[in-house]
Amino acid sequence: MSEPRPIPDALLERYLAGALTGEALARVERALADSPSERARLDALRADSAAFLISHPPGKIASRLATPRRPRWLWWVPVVAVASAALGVFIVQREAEAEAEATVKGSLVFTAFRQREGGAAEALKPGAVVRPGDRVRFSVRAPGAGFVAVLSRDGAGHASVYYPFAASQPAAHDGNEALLPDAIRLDDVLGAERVWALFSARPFELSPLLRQLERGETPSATGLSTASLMWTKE
Amino acid sequence: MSDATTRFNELYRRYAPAVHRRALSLLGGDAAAAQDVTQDVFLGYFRAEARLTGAAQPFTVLYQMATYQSVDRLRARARWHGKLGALSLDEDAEGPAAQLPADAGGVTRVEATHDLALLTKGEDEQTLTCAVLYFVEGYTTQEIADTLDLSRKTVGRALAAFGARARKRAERLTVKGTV
Repeated sequence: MSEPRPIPDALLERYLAGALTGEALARVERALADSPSERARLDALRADSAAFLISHPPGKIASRLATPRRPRWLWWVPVVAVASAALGVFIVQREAEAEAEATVKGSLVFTAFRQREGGAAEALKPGAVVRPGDRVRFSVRAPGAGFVAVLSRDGAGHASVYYPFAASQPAAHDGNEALLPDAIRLDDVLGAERVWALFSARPFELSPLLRQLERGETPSATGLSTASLMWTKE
Repeated sequence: MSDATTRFNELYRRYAPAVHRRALSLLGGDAAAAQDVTQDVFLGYFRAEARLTGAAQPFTVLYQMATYQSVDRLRARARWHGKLGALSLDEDAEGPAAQLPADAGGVTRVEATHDLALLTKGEDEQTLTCAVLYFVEGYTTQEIADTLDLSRKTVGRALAAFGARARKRAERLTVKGTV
């Protein structure tokens, strides 16, 4: 007689999380009741979960959910506007490959601001030097309503989505509200980092664009406008 | 503590260990990458939760996100090995689809995972997860249905459609001589 098939890992995980129901739950419970080795697997998973939560508590990640306090940014925005006017436009801009109905008229202006102690903002000039831990917020002025994302290729060649953070799709953008919600805190990967603002009148997928960046290519897709800036993290 | 933070902590404590183990398994034990995936999955899920539609349980959504993001990372460095055979689907079979060694080095499974990463480019999270579970990890269609809260028929349809697309991609990858 052959050995019964072990409970698949995913089902045991789902059972442990209390998320299994119906017939599937009954099958797993029968298998656990019949097999000491299956119960031992479950006990090992339970212990591993406890250890994981001790070494990786939720607090650090949860803190990244926090939206900046409104008054702080409201005060910051006028500073930003003044700084931009004084510095002029320093952003690289490239128009979209035009497809008749998706042609971008006007320009895409992309600006990054570093928040300084006390809440004041500093517009980052091209080639600016930044530090790990710096808090950076972005402004994208688009030619109209559409969809916006901000991607990065860091000094190690890793691409990531800064806005909307870790998402697979861009965020809706009305074209007028230039300052994007949320700020990012720079990690400790040093070197030259190029950050891209992407705009399209239509929704688009971020995964292929991230792969282009990983390959060292410029993000490109039909109907997509891009603007970029570069800083050096030291 | 805000309501949002309380809700996030509850979700994290309940599901993060499983998400982390899922990523760790697919990423060949790369703890740093698995932690990154875990973090990205939870932040992404939590920020999108209000927009999620349907009755999918958090476990199934998070599990698919973890699988998708892990395979996406693998894809960036994956090479084609041609280890997945004919990618055929036997929906009536009681046994697993694949019998690839996961332990003792797990080379075959690693290569198969790389192959699947290349073949699932552009697939959605659900299809990709079904494909990994079936073609690499040897789950039956019933086990996949139980894991992802789908009907066995839905799993079968998704795998059959994916298999047809993947066979064409596999031919192209093999012809390109990247094996």
